[in-house]
Amino acid sequence: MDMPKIRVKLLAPDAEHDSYHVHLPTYTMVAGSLQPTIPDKTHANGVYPNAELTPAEKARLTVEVEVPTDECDEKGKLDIAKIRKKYHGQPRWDKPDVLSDV
Amino acid sequence: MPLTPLKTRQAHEKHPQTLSLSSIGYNSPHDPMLRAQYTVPSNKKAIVSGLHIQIIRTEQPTGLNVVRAWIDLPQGTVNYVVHWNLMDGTSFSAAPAAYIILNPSETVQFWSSDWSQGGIVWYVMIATIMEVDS
Repeated sequence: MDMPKIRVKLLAPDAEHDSYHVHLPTYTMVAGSLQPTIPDKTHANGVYPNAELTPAEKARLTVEVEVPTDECDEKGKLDIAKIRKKYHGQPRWDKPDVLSDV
Repeated sequence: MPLTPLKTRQAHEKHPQTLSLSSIGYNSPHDPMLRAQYTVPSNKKAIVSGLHIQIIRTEQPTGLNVVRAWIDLPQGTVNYVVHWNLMDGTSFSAAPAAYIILNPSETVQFWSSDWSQGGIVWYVMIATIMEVDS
């Protein structure tokens, strides 16, 4: 059985991360799933290292990820309650708006 | 203590204990993408027992194809590995000298990049993680 695949926001480097990343505790990016392709800046598998994206371009980036089965409901959608229970007490993941950047 | 398979490993039915992490190189030593991350559940511990790179295809002759792989742990970076002379269908493992134990809530990040000169190496990165009750 495959892990649930979902399309989520690809977040740009920030104060906490020096890389493009996804705001989920456990994930694996699906190869070739980055959208959209922006000439000389992004391609299906990532962002070119020296690319300088505008804020609007960064806001459009999405990628498909595989996530743990026990963090999703029966339909394969992320389940906030399951995530909070699995990562209970972890400030970054055990909060009501845990999926706000997803 | 019995080992229990990680739920996310169901992508590999024949190897249910394996968390598979795919990544594709594009001729850059500085991949700005965090392609895979694992966080230990609050009531578990986890064991990182290996990191494996499987070369799918290369564009250049042997000797020019280089892939680097490493793991970032709370304690720092380990398993810094660079392999040359990669050919289609070959693979290498970056297993640690000893199993790495992760405590509840710790996060581990898996990285790899293509250091080849001129061509692209397509590869799949596979990390092996086991969860245990804490």
